[in-house]
Amino acid sequence: MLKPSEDKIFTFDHLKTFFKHTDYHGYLHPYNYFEWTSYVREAFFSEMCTDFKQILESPIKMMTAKIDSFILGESSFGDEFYARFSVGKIKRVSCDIIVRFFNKRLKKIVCETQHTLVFMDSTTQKFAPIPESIREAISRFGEPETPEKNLTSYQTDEL
Amino acid sequence: MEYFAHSQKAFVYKYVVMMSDTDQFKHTSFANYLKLMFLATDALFLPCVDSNFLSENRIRLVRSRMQFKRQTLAGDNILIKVNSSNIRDSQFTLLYIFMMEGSAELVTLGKQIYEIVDLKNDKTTTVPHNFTQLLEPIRVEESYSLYKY
Repeated sequence: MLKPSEDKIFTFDHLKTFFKHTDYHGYLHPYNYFEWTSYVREAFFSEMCTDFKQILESPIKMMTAKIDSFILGESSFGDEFYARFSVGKIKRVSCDIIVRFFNKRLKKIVCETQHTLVFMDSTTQKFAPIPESIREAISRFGEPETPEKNLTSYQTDEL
Repeated sequence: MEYFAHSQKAFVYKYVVMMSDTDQFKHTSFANYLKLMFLATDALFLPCVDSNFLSENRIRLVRSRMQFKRQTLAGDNILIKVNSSNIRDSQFTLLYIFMMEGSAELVTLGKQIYEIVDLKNDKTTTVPHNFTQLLEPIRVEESYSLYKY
């Protein structure tokens, strides 16, 4: 499901538009990109962090602090996607995750989401360092230098 | 000392967090807050989106942002206050404040930019008069807001 490649790019390619994903006019409702973003990141952590389940059972909790989305194209019923996962800034207690959705029919990126994950210790209610296995995994999948990065980087400042 | 009361009009949508909104960590999953933001938007637009409008136009999301401040549990009552901002010829912004009913604790802040698309040519068109009539009474100046969306 999740495919590591030689140049450390991860893709999640089990995304397809069904009726339940479409809006009144037959386009993919943008809400689905948010839900799919959570699928992509959870698949990444499950695959790349061997102790992810143990982390989930520990007092260290992973929380979404913010999420941005940029809609760059329209998709419709039957369209299939792959989503590429990459990592922006990594700090002591947080990291930025970028997911780009590529529409296979249109052959273009139709949405980019950027979200910040923060780690907290539920026993102290204070921020906690990123668990070592997660830090190790995300550090290998930094943001690639590609043209599409430039496509949306300027838009973040506007929001 | 004098006190001044200032009432800002907003569209308010109330929601009770359901068990199905929460995940294995007992809190509302982040994606469900976004679903709720779209739900509040739909409720706001309802008076303007009759079958005539929908046969000629559609409302398209351009950008979206949400910041998460506090977690909620099943049974929590959330008030979603919606204001408009930056109403332009073909685009407008909606600002969302999710807060706990009663305590007014901030849950999330949201922002969405929308445009109206003419289905005949698939190009953006002027925001219809009935939309501006809906948006003007709840309009705020985003830069003067207490929050940074």
